[in-house]
Amino acid sequence: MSNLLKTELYKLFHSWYFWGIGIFNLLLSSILLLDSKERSSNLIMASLYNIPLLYFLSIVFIALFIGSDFSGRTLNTYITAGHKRSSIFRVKLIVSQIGCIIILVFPLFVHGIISQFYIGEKLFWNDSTYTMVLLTLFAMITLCALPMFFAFIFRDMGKTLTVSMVLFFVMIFLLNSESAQIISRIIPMGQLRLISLQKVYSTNFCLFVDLLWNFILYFIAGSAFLHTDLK
Amino acid sequence: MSSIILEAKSLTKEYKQTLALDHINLQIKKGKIYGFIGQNGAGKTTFLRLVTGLAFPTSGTLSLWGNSGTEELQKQRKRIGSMIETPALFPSMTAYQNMEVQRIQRGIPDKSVIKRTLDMVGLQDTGKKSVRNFSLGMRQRLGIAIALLNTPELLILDEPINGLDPAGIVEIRNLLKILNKEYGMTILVSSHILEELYQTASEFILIDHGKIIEEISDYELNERCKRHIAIKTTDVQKTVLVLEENLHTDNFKLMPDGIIRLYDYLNDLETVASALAESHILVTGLSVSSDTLEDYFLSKIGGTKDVKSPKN
Repeated sequence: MSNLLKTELYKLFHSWYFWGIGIFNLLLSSILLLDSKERSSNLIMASLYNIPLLYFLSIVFIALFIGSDFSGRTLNTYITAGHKRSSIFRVKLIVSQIGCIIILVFPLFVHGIISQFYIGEKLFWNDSTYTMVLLTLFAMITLCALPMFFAFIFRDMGKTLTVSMVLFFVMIFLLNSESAQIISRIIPMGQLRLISLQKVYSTNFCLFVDLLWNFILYFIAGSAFLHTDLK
Repeated sequence: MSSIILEAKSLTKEYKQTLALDHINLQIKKGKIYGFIGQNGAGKTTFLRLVTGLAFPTSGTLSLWGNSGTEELQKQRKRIGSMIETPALFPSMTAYQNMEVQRIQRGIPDKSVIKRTLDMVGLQDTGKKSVRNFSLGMRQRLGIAIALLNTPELLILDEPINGLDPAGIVEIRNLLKILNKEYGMTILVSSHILEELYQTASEFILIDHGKIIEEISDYELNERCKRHIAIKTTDVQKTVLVLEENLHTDNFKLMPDGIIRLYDYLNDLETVASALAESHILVTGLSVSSDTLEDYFLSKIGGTKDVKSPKN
Protein backbone atom coordinates (compact mmCIF):
# COMPACT_ATOMS: atom_id res chain seq x y z
CA MET A 1 0.00 0.00 0.00
CA SER A 2 2.92 2.37 0.67
CA ASN A 3 4.09 1.92 -2.92
CA LEU A 4 0.63 2.83 -4.15
CA LEU A 5 0.57 5.87 -1.90
CA LYS A 6 3.94 7.05 -3.20
CA THR A 7 2.79 6.46 -6.78
CA GLU A 8 -0.42 8.42 -6.37
CA LEU A 9 1.40 11.30 -4.69
CA TYR A 10 3.94 11.28 -7.54
CA LYS A 11 1.06 11.43 -10.02
CA LEU A 12 -0.67 14.18 -8.06
CA PHE A 13 2.33 16.48 -7.88
CA HIS A 14 3.30 15.79 -11.51
CA SER A 15 -0.16 16.55 -12.86
CA TRP A 16 -0.58 19.92 -14.57
CA TYR A 17 -4.27 20.11 -13.69
CA PHE A 18 -3.61 19.91 -9.94
CA TRP A 19 -1.38 23.01 -10.04
CA GLY A 20 -3.53 24.69 -12.69
CA ILE A 21 -6.78 24.24 -10.78
CA GLY A 22 -5.07 25.27 -7.51
CA ILE A 23 -3.80 28.55 -8.94
CA PHE A 24 -7.05 29.25 -10.78
CA ASN A 25 -8.94 28.63 -7.52
CA LEU A 26 -6.77 31.19 -5.72
CA LEU A 27 -7.34 33.79 -8.43
CA LEU A 28 -11.09 33.21 -8.57
CA SER A 29 -11.39 33.17 -4.79
CA SER A 30 -9.47 36.46 -4.57
CA ILE A 31 -11.80 38.08 -7.10
CA LEU A 32 -14.86 36.81 -5.22
CA LEU A 33 -13.50 38.36 -2.01
CA LEU A 34 -14.60 41.73 -3.34
CA ASP A 35 -18.16 40.56 -2.85
CA SER A 36 -17.91 38.25 0.17
CA LYS A 37 -15.74 40.55 2.30
CA GLU A 38 -18.77 42.69 3.12
CA ARG A 39 -20.75 39.69 4.40
CA SER A 40 -18.05 38.31 6.71
CA SER A 41 -16.19 39.37 9.82
CA ASN A 42 -12.69 38.97 8.39
CA LEU A 43 -10.76 37.93 5.28
CA ILE A 44 -10.52 34.23 6.23
CA MET A 45 -14.26 34.01 6.79
CA ALA A 46 -14.82 35.83 3.50
CA SER A 47 -12.56 33.32 1.78
CA LEU A 48 -14.39 30.43 3.49
CA TYR A 49 -17.70 31.91 2.32
CA ASN A 50 -16.56 31.44 -1.28
CA ILE A 51 -15.62 27.77 -0.98
CA PRO A 52 -19.08 26.43 -1.86
CA LEU A 53 -19.01 28.47 -5.07
CA LEU A 54 -15.51 27.25 -5.94
CA TYR A 55 -16.38 23.66 -5.19
CA PHE A 56 -16.87 23.03 -8.93
CA LEU A 57 -13.09 23.18 -9.33
CA SER A 58 -12.75 20.19 -7.00
CA ILE A 59 -15.25 18.37 -9.17
CA VAL A 60 -13.10 19.08 -12.23
CA PHE A 61 -10.02 17.89 -10.34
CA ILE A 62 -11.64 14.62 -9.21
CA ALA A 63 -13.03 13.94 -12.68
CA LEU A 64 -9.53 14.33 -14.08
CA PHE A 65 -7.68 12.56 -11.28
CA ILE A 66 -9.92 9.51 -10.87
CA GLY A 67 -12.07 9.54 -14.02
CA SER A 68 -9.11 9.70 -16.38
CA ASP A 69 -7.47 6.82 -14.50
CA PHE A 70 -10.47 4.71 -15.40
CA SER A 71 -10.93 5.92 -18.96
CA GLY A 72 -7.19 5.72 -19.69
CA ARG A 73 -7.08 2.32 -17.96
CA THR A 74 -4.08 3.45 -15.92
CA LEU A 75 -5.77 2.23 -12.74
CA ASN A 76 -5.77 -1.25 -14.29
CA THR A 77 -1.97 -1.40 -14.02
CA TYR A 78 -2.27 -1.49 -10.22
CA ILE A 79 -4.54 -4.51 -10.42
CA THR A 80 -2.46 -6.34 -13.00
CA ALA A 81 0.59 -5.67 -10.81
CA GLY A 82 -1.07 -7.61 -7.99
CA HIS A 83 -2.30 -4.84 -5.70
CA LYS A 84 -5.49 -5.44 -3.72
CA ARG A 85 -8.51 -3.57 -5.00
CA SER A 86 -9.31 -2.46 -1.46
CA SER A 87 -5.81 -0.91 -1.14
CA ILE A 88 -6.17 0.80 -4.51
CA PHE A 89 -9.54 2.22 -3.45
CA ARG A 90 -8.23 3.46 -0.12
CA VAL A 91 -5.12 5.06 -1.60
CA LYS A 92 -7.07 6.69 -4.39
CA LEU A 93 -9.46 8.21 -1.84
CA ILE A 94 -6.69 9.42 0.45
CA VAL A 95 -4.68 11.10 -2.30
CA SER A 96 -7.75 12.53 -4.03
CA GLN A 97 -8.86 14.00 -0.71
CA ILE A 98 -5.38 15.44 -0.16
CA GLY A 99 -5.51 17.02 -3.62
CA CYS A 100 -9.02 18.37 -3.08
CA ILE A 101 -8.28 19.78 0.36
CA ILE A 102 -5.08 21.46 -0.86
CA ILE A 103 -6.99 23.04 -3.75
CA LEU A 104 -9.81 24.27 -1.50
CA VAL A 105 -7.59 25.34 1.41
CA PHE A 106 -4.94 27.09 -0.67
CA PRO A 107 -6.91 30.39 -1.00
CA LEU A 108 -7.84 30.22 2.71
CA PHE A 109 -4.17 29.85 3.58
CA VAL A 110 -3.02 32.70 1.33
CA HIS A 111 -5.85 34.99 2.42
CA GLY A 112 -5.16 34.04 6.05
CA ILE A 113 -1.54 35.16 5.71
CA ILE A 114 -2.62 38.42 4.06
CA SER A 115 -5.22 39.02 6.74
CA GLN A 116 -2.76 38.38 9.60
CA PHE A 117 0.35 40.10 8.34
CA TYR A 118 -0.79 42.80 5.92
CA ILE A 119 -4.29 43.83 7.04
CA GLY A 120 -3.67 43.18 10.71
CA GLU A 121 -6.84 41.18 11.40
CA LYS A 122 -6.37 38.94 14.40
CA LEU A 123 -7.60 35.36 14.49
CA PHE A 124 -7.70 34.13 18.05
CA TRP A 125 -6.85 30.45 18.40
CA ASN A 126 -9.28 29.22 21.02
CA ASP A 127 -11.61 26.20 21.28
CA SER A 128 -14.18 27.64 18.92
CA THR A 129 -11.48 28.30 16.31
CA TYR A 130 -10.32 24.69 16.49
CA THR A 131 -13.92 23.52 16.24
CA MET A 132 -14.41 25.71 13.21
CA VAL A 133 -11.27 24.28 11.55
CA LEU A 134 -12.44 20.73 12.31
CA LEU A 135 -15.92 21.39 10.96
CA THR A 136 -14.49 23.05 7.86
CA LEU A 137 -12.20 20.12 7.23
CA PHE A 138 -14.98 17.56 7.63
CA ALA A 139 -17.33 19.54 5.42
CA MET A 140 -14.65 19.80 2.72
CA ILE A 141 -13.90 16.05 2.91
CA THR A 142 -17.60 15.33 2.56
CA LEU A 143 -17.95 17.77 -0.33
CA CYS A 144 -15.14 16.00 -2.19
CA ALA A 145 -16.65 12.60 -1.45
CA LEU A 146 -19.51 13.27 -3.85
CA PRO A 147 -17.52 13.50 -7.13
CA MET A 148 -15.32 10.63 -5.90
CA PHE A 149 -18.44 8.54 -5.44
CA PHE A 150 -19.53 9.24 -9.02
CA ALA A 151 -16.01 8.64 -10.34
CA PHE A 152 -16.01 5.11 -8.88
CA ILE A 153 -19.59 4.43 -9.91
CA PHE A 154 -19.33 5.64 -13.52
CA ARG A 155 -15.62 4.95 -14.00
CA ASP A 156 -15.61 7.64 -16.64
CA MET A 157 -14.37 11.23 -16.70
CA GLY A 158 -17.25 12.76 -18.68
CA LYS A 159 -20.09 11.23 -16.67
CA THR A 160 -18.38 12.04 -13.36
CA LEU A 161 -17.99 15.66 -14.39
CA THR A 162 -21.50 16.05 -15.79
CA VAL A 163 -23.45 14.47 -12.95
CA SER A 164 -21.38 16.13 -10.22
CA MET A 165 -21.75 19.54 -11.88
CA VAL A 166 -25.51 19.11 -12.18
CA LEU A 167 -25.66 18.31 -8.48
CA PHE A 168 -23.43 21.29 -7.74
CA PHE A 169 -25.92 23.62 -9.41
CA VAL A 170 -28.85 21.86 -7.69
CA MET A 171 -27.16 22.41 -4.32
CA ILE A 172 -26.50 26.08 -5.12
CA PHE A 173 -30.14 26.40 -6.12
CA LEU A 174 -31.33 24.73 -2.90
CA LEU A 175 -29.12 26.98 -0.77
CA ASN A 176 -30.88 29.96 -2.30
CA SER A 177 -34.35 28.51 -1.86
CA GLU A 178 -36.85 29.12 0.93
CA SER A 179 -35.80 26.00 2.79
CA ALA A 180 -32.13 26.99 2.75
CA GLN A 181 -31.98 27.05 6.55
CA ILE A 182 -32.78 23.36 6.88
CA ILE A 183 -30.93 22.19 3.78
CA SER A 184 -27.73 23.97 4.72
CA ARG A 185 -27.51 21.81 7.86
CA ILE A 186 -27.65 18.51 5.98
CA ILE A 187 -25.46 19.21 2.99
CA PRO A 188 -21.76 20.00 3.48
CA MET A 189 -21.89 22.92 1.05
CA GLY A 190 -24.48 24.56 3.30
CA GLN A 191 -22.48 23.74 6.40
CA LEU A 192 -19.50 25.63 4.99
CA ARG A 193 -21.72 28.62 4.37
CA LEU A 194 -23.00 28.42 7.98
CA ILE A 195 -19.44 28.16 9.32
CA SER A 196 -18.35 31.23 7.38
CA LEU A 197 -21.35 33.18 8.72
CA GLN A 198 -20.68 31.73 12.21
CA LYS A 199 -24.21 30.36 12.38
CA VAL A 200 -23.49 26.67 13.00
CA TYR A 201 -26.53 25.09 14.62
CA SER A 202 -24.84 22.13 16.30
CA THR A 203 -21.25 20.96 15.92
CA ASN A 204 -22.09 17.36 16.76
CA PHE A 205 -24.96 17.29 14.33
CA CYS A 206 -22.76 18.65 11.53
CA LEU A 207 -20.05 16.09 12.23
CA PHE A 208 -22.61 13.29 12.41
CA VAL A 209 -24.15 14.30 9.08
CA ASP A 210 -20.72 14.51 7.43
CA LEU A 211 -19.67 11.11 8.76
CA LEU A 212 -22.94 9.61 7.60
CA TRP A 213 -22.52 11.06 4.10
CA ASN A 214 -18.94 9.77 3.93
CA PHE A 215 -19.92 6.33 5.12
CA ILE A 216 -22.79 5.96 2.65
CA LEU A 217 -20.90 7.32 -0.36
CA TYR A 218 -17.67 5.43 0.25
CA PHE A 219 -19.41 2.20 1.17
CA ILE A 220 -21.36 2.14 -2.09
CA ALA A 221 -18.41 3.31 -4.20
CA GLY A 222 -16.03 0.83 -2.55
CA SER A 223 -18.43 -2.10 -2.92
CA ALA A 224 -18.92 -1.27 -6.60
CA PHE A 225 -15.19 -1.01 -7.27
CA LEU A 226 -14.31 -4.21 -5.43
CA HIS A 227 -16.70 -6.33 -7.43
CA THR A 228 -16.81 -4.75 -10.87
CA ASP A 229 -15.08 -5.87 -14.04
CA LEU A 230 -12.86 -3.13 -15.38
CA LYS A 231 -12.59 -2.17 -19.05
CA MET B 1 8.65 -28.04 -9.28
CA SER B 2 5.74 -27.98 -11.72
CA SER B 3 6.35 -26.41 -15.10
CA ILE B 4 2.73 -25.24 -15.29
CA ILE B 5 2.56 -21.50 -14.82
CA LEU B 6 -1.09 -20.90 -15.55
CA GLU B 7 -3.96 -23.33 -15.42
CA ALA B 8 -7.60 -22.70 -16.17
CA LYS B 9 -10.17 -25.30 -15.23
CA SER B 10 -13.64 -24.97 -16.67
CA LEU B 11 -13.20 -21.20 -16.65
CA THR B 12 -16.40 -19.45 -17.68
CA LYS B 13 -17.22 -15.80 -18.11
CA GLU B 14 -20.74 -14.73 -18.83
CA TYR B 15 -21.88 -11.20 -19.51
CA LYS B 16 -25.55 -10.22 -19.46
CA GLN B 17 -26.48 -11.92 -22.70
CA THR B 18 -23.18 -13.30 -23.92
CA LEU B 19 -21.14 -16.30 -22.99
CA ALA B 20 -17.65 -14.86 -23.53
CA LEU B 21 -15.76 -17.90 -22.22
CA ASP B 22 -17.30 -21.31 -22.17
CA HIS B 23 -15.65 -23.76 -19.73
CA ILE B 24 -12.09 -23.13 -20.82
CA ASN B 25 -9.47 -25.70 -19.83
CA LEU B 26 -5.95 -24.57 -20.51
CA GLN B 27 -2.38 -24.95 -19.32
CA ILE B 28 0.50 -22.58 -19.96
CA LYS B 29 3.90 -24.13 -19.41
CA LYS B 30 7.11 -22.45 -18.42
CA GLY B 31 9.58 -21.21 -21.02
CA LYS B 32 7.37 -21.28 -24.10
CA ILE B 33 5.92 -18.62 -26.36
CA TYR B 34 2.19 -19.11 -26.79
CA GLY B 35 0.25 -17.61 -29.65
CA PHE B 36 -3.36 -16.95 -28.77
CA ILE B 37 -5.43 -17.01 -31.94
CA GLY B 38 -9.04 -16.08 -32.39
CA GLN B 39 -11.43 -13.81 -34.20
CA ASN B 40 -12.75 -10.55 -32.77
CA GLY B 41 -15.02 -11.46 -29.87
CA ALA B 42 -13.70 -15.02 -29.66
CA GLY B 43 -12.79 -14.54 -26.00
CA LYS B 44 -9.03 -13.89 -26.15
CA THR B 45 -9.05 -10.57 -24.32
CA THR B 46 -11.69 -11.78 -21.86
CA PHE B 47 -9.42 -14.67 -20.92
CA LEU B 48 -6.43 -12.35 -20.51
CA ARG B 49 -8.50 -9.97 -18.39
CA LEU B 50 -9.45 -12.83 -16.08
CA VAL B 51 -5.82 -13.88 -15.77
CA THR B 52 -4.69 -10.34 -14.93
CA GLY B 53 -7.51 -9.75 -12.43
CA LEU B 54 -9.34 -7.03 -14.34
CA ALA B 55 -12.47 -9.15 -14.52
CA PHE B 56 -13.96 -11.88 -12.36
CA PRO B 57 -14.88 -15.34 -13.68
CA THR B 58 -18.50 -16.46 -13.51
CA SER B 59 -17.38 -19.99 -12.65
CA GLY B 60 -14.37 -22.25 -12.86
CA THR B 61 -10.93 -21.90 -11.36
CA LEU B 62 -7.75 -20.18 -12.35
CA SER B 63 -4.38 -20.89 -10.83
CA LEU B 64 -1.04 -19.15 -11.24
CA TRP B 65 2.11 -21.09 -10.32
CA GLY B 66 -0.13 -23.61 -8.63
CA ASN B 67 -1.92 -21.04 -6.46
CA SER B 68 -5.59 -20.23 -6.68
CA GLY B 69 -7.93 -18.12 -4.56
CA THR B 70 -8.29 -14.35 -4.67
CA GLU B 71 -5.48 -13.47 -2.25
CA GLU B 72 -3.01 -15.93 -3.71
CA LEU B 73 -3.73 -14.93 -7.28
CA GLN B 74 -3.10 -11.30 -6.36
CA LYS B 75 0.31 -12.18 -4.95
CA GLN B 76 1.25 -14.25 -7.97
CA ARG B 77 0.27 -11.46 -10.36
CA LYS B 78 3.35 -9.55 -9.20
CA ARG B 79 5.28 -12.06 -11.35
CA ILE B 80 3.33 -11.09 -14.47
CA GLY B 81 3.90 -8.24 -16.90
CA SER B 82 1.02 -7.40 -19.17
CA MET B 83 -0.39 -5.11 -21.77
CA ILE B 84 -4.09 -5.70 -22.35
CA GLU B 85 -5.70 -4.07 -25.40
CA THR B 86 -4.32 -0.52 -25.38
CA PRO B 87 -1.24 0.64 -23.45
CA ALA B 88 -2.19 2.29 -20.13
CA LEU B 89 -0.31 5.58 -20.30
CA PHE B 90 -0.45 9.07 -18.80
CA PRO B 91 -0.60 11.34 -21.85
CA SER B 92 0.74 14.46 -20.15
CA MET B 93 3.82 12.67 -18.81
CA THR B 94 7.01 11.72 -20.64
CA ALA B 95 8.00 8.12 -21.36
CA TYR B 96 10.42 8.25 -18.41
CA GLN B 97 7.75 9.61 -16.03
CA ASN B 98 5.30 6.93 -17.16
CA MET B 99 7.92 4.31 -16.39
CA GLU B 100 8.70 6.00 -13.06
CA VAL B 101 5.04 5.71 -12.02
CA GLN B 102 5.15 1.99 -12.74
CA ARG B 103 8.53 1.57 -11.05
CA ILE B 104 7.26 3.16 -7.83
CA GLN B 105 4.01 1.19 -7.76
CA ARG B 106 5.87 -2.08 -8.32
CA GLY B 107 8.37 -1.17 -5.61
CA ILE B 108 11.44 -1.59 -7.83
CA PRO B 109 14.31 0.19 -6.03
CA ASP B 110 16.72 0.39 -8.98
CA LYS B 111 15.96 3.46 -11.11
CA SER B 112 18.34 2.37 -13.88
CA VAL B 113 15.82 -0.31 -14.86
CA ILE B 114 13.81 2.45 -16.60
CA LYS B 115 16.60 3.42 -18.97
CA ARG B 116 17.47 -0.22 -19.68
CA THR B 117 13.87 -1.07 -20.53
CA LEU B 118 13.38 2.03 -22.68
CA ASP B 119 16.58 1.10 -24.56
CA MET B 120 15.20 -2.38 -25.08
CA VAL B 121 12.12 -1.09 -26.94
CA GLY B 122 13.93 1.69 -28.77
CA LEU B 123 12.49 4.65 -26.85
CA GLN B 124 15.72 5.91 -25.31
CA ASP B 125 15.69 9.22 -27.19
CA THR B 126 12.20 10.54 -26.47
CA GLY B 127 13.47 13.04 -23.86
CA LYS B 128 10.86 15.52 -22.64
CA LYS B 129 8.34 14.70 -25.34
CA SER B 130 5.01 13.96 -23.67
CA VAL B 131 3.23 10.73 -24.52
CA ARG B 132 0.31 12.62 -26.07
CA ASN B 133 2.68 13.53 -28.91
CA PHE B 134 3.80 9.94 -29.44
CA SER B 135 2.84 7.99 -32.54
CA LEU B 136 0.68 4.87 -32.15
CA GLY B 137 3.75 2.69 -32.58
CA MET B 138 5.70 4.58 -29.91
CA ARG B 139 2.82 4.23 -27.47
CA GLN B 140 2.71 0.52 -28.20
CA ARG B 141 6.44 0.23 -27.52
CA LEU B 142 6.04 2.13 -24.25
CA GLY B 143 3.20 -0.21 -23.27
CA ILE B 144 5.51 -3.16 -23.90
CA ALA B 145 8.29 -1.46 -21.92
CA ILE B 146 5.93 -1.05 -18.95
CA ALA B 147 5.02 -4.73 -19.16
CA LEU B 148 8.73 -5.61 -19.13
CA LEU B 149 9.73 -3.27 -16.30
CA ASN B 150 9.64 -5.92 -13.57
CA THR B 151 11.34 -8.57 -15.76
CA PRO B 152 8.25 -10.77 -15.45
CA GLU B 153 8.23 -14.53 -15.46
CA LEU B 154 5.05 -14.48 -17.53
CA LEU B 155 4.59 -11.78 -20.14
CA ILE B 156 1.08 -11.28 -21.48
CA LEU B 157 0.69 -9.12 -24.56
CA ASP B 158 -2.64 -8.49 -26.22
CA GLU B 159 -2.20 -7.37 -29.83
CA PRO B 160 1.31 -5.97 -29.18
CA ILE B 161 2.17 -5.15 -32.78
CA ASN B 162 -0.89 -2.98 -33.46
CA GLY B 163 0.28 0.26 -35.00
CA LEU B 164 3.90 -0.80 -35.41
CA ASP B 165 5.67 -0.29 -38.73
CA PRO B 166 7.30 -3.32 -40.43
CA ALA B 167 10.69 -2.58 -38.87
CA GLY B 168 9.03 -2.23 -35.45
CA ILE B 169 7.25 -5.55 -35.89
CA VAL B 170 10.55 -7.29 -36.60
CA GLU B 171 12.18 -5.58 -33.59
CA ILE B 172 9.40 -6.68 -31.23
CA ARG B 173 9.44 -10.19 -32.64
CA ASN B 174 13.19 -10.43 -32.06
CA LEU B 175 12.81 -8.89 -28.60
CA LEU B 176 10.23 -11.51 -27.59
CA LYS B 177 12.49 -14.29 -28.83
CA ILE B 178 15.45 -12.88 -26.89
CA LEU B 179 13.38 -12.50 -23.72
CA ASN B 180 12.22 -16.07 -24.07
CA LYS B 181 15.66 -17.46 -24.82
CA GLU B 182 17.88 -15.43 -22.49
CA TYR B 183 15.54 -14.80 -19.55
CA GLY B 184 13.45 -17.96 -19.91
CA MET B 185 10.40 -15.72 -19.97
CA THR B 186 7.09 -17.42 -20.73
CA ILE B 187 5.14 -15.33 -23.20
CA LEU B 188 1.47 -15.34 -24.11
CA VAL B 189 0.75 -13.21 -27.18
CA SER B 190 -2.58 -12.68 -28.84
CA SER B 191 -2.76 -11.26 -32.31
CA HIS B 192 -4.87 -11.05 -35.41
CA ILE B 193 -1.82 -11.12 -37.59
CA LEU B 194 -1.40 -14.84 -37.75
CA GLU B 195 1.67 -14.85 -39.96
CA GLU B 196 3.43 -12.81 -37.29
CA LEU B 197 2.43 -15.24 -34.56
CA TYR B 198 3.56 -18.12 -36.74
CA GLN B 199 7.06 -16.65 -36.78
CA THR B 200 7.15 -15.97 -33.03
CA ALA B 201 5.25 -18.62 -31.10
CA SER B 202 6.20 -22.19 -30.31
CA GLU B 203 2.71 -23.18 -29.15
CA PHE B 204 -0.66 -22.11 -30.51
CA ILE B 205 -4.00 -21.89 -28.75
CA LEU B 206 -6.99 -21.57 -31.06
CA ILE B 207 -10.11 -20.06 -29.53
CA ASP B 208 -13.50 -19.53 -31.10
CA HIS B 209 -16.83 -18.47 -29.61
CA GLY B 210 -15.38 -18.70 -26.11
CA LYS B 211 -14.10 -22.25 -26.51
CA ILE B 212 -10.59 -23.55 -26.96
CA ILE B 213 -10.81 -25.43 -30.21
CA GLU B 214 -7.24 -26.63 -30.30
CA GLU B 215 -3.84 -26.43 -28.62
CA ILE B 216 -1.07 -27.27 -30.99
CA SER B 217 2.73 -27.01 -31.06
CA ASP B 218 4.62 -25.48 -33.97
CA TYR B 219 5.87 -28.98 -34.88
CA GLU B 220 2.35 -30.40 -34.95
CA LEU B 221 1.13 -27.39 -36.87
CA ASN B 222 3.79 -27.83 -39.52
CA GLU B 223 2.75 -31.46 -39.81
CA ARG B 224 -0.88 -30.51 -40.23
CA CYS B 225 -0.22 -27.69 -42.62
CA LYS B 226 1.18 -30.33 -44.89
CA ARG B 227 1.27 -30.31 -48.63
CA HIS B 228 -1.94 -30.94 -50.50
CA ILE B 229 -3.50 -30.65 -53.94
CA ALA B 230 -5.75 -27.59 -54.11
CA ILE B 231 -8.64 -28.33 -56.47
CA LYS B 232 -10.93 -25.60 -57.68
CA THR B 233 -13.88 -26.62 -59.84
CA THR B 234 -17.26 -25.27 -60.92
CA ASP B 235 -19.10 -28.19 -59.30
CA VAL B 236 -17.86 -28.93 -55.80
CA GLN B 237 -20.41 -31.63 -54.98
CA LYS B 238 -19.67 -33.63 -58.10
CA THR B 239 -15.92 -33.27 -57.47
CA VAL B 240 -16.30 -34.66 -53.96
CA LEU B 241 -18.24 -37.60 -55.40
CA VAL B 242 -15.48 -38.29 -57.97
CA LEU B 243 -12.79 -38.22 -55.28
CA GLU B 244 -14.70 -40.70 -53.15
CA GLU B 245 -15.93 -43.04 -55.87
CA ASN B 246 -13.35 -42.85 -58.63
CA LEU B 247 -10.17 -42.08 -56.67
CA HIS B 248 -11.30 -44.01 -53.55
CA THR B 249 -10.12 -41.42 -51.04
CA ASP B 250 -11.73 -39.49 -48.23
CA ASN B 251 -8.49 -37.77 -47.24
CA PHE B 252 -9.58 -34.35 -48.40
CA LYS B 253 -11.08 -31.23 -46.89
CA LEU B 254 -13.61 -28.78 -48.28
CA MET B 255 -12.57 -25.23 -47.43
CA PRO B 256 -14.94 -22.31 -46.80
CA ASP B 257 -13.85 -20.69 -50.09
CA GLY B 258 -14.94 -23.79 -52.08
CA ILE B 259 -11.46 -25.15 -52.67
CA ILE B 260 -10.97 -28.85 -52.00
CA ARG B 261 -7.73 -29.89 -50.37
CA LEU B 262 -6.69 -33.39 -51.31
CA TYR B 263 -3.96 -34.92 -49.17
CA ASP B 264 -3.49 -38.05 -51.34
CA TYR B 265 -2.11 -38.33 -54.89
CA LEU B 266 0.45 -35.61 -54.14
CA ASN B 267 2.88 -37.05 -56.67
CA ASP B 268 0.20 -38.04 -59.14
CA LEU B 269 -1.49 -34.86 -60.22
CA GLU B 270 -2.30 -36.32 -63.66
CA THR B 271 -4.52 -39.07 -62.20
CA VAL B 272 -6.57 -36.49 -60.33
CA ALA B 273 -6.82 -34.27 -63.41
CA SER B 274 -7.90 -37.08 -65.69
CA ALA B 275 -10.46 -38.46 -63.19
CA LEU B 276 -12.10 -35.03 -63.04
CA ALA B 277 -11.93 -34.59 -66.80
CA GLU B 278 -13.51 -38.01 -67.42
CA SER B 279 -16.42 -36.96 -65.19
CA HIS B 280 -16.85 -33.78 -67.28
CA ILE B 281 -15.98 -31.46 -64.38
CA LEU B 282 -14.60 -28.08 -65.36
CA VAL B 283 -11.39 -27.61 -63.37
CA THR B 284 -10.43 -23.97 -62.84
CA GLY B 285 -7.47 -24.61 -60.58
CA LEU B 286 -5.26 -27.57 -59.75
CA SER B 287 -1.99 -27.17 -57.91
CA VAL B 288 0.14 -28.59 -55.13
CA SER B 289 0.47 -26.21 -52.17
CA SER B 290 0.65 -26.13 -48.39
CA ASP B 291 -1.33 -24.41 -45.58
CA THR B 292 -0.36 -21.34 -43.66
CA LEU B 293 -1.36 -20.83 -40.02
CA GLU B 294 -4.14 -18.62 -41.32
CA ASP B 295 -5.47 -21.37 -43.60
CA TYR B 296 -5.26 -23.84 -40.77
CA PHE B 297 -7.14 -21.55 -38.41
CA LEU B 298 -9.83 -20.89 -41.00
CA SER B 299 -10.24 -24.58 -41.65
CA LYS B 300 -10.68 -25.12 -37.92
CA ILE B 301 -13.30 -22.47 -37.37
CA GLY B 302 -14.95 -22.99 -40.73
CA GLY B 303 -15.27 -19.35 -41.68
CA THR B 304 -13.44 -16.31 -42.95
CA LYS B 305 -15.03 -13.41 -41.16
CA ASP B 306 -12.87 -10.95 -39.25
CA VAL B 307 -9.57 -12.69 -39.71
CA LYS B 308 -7.04 -10.43 -41.35
CA SER B 309 -4.52 -11.74 -43.78
CA PRO B 310 -1.04 -10.29 -43.42
CA LYS B 311 -1.09 -9.73 -47.17
CA ASN B 312 -4.15 -7.48 -46.98
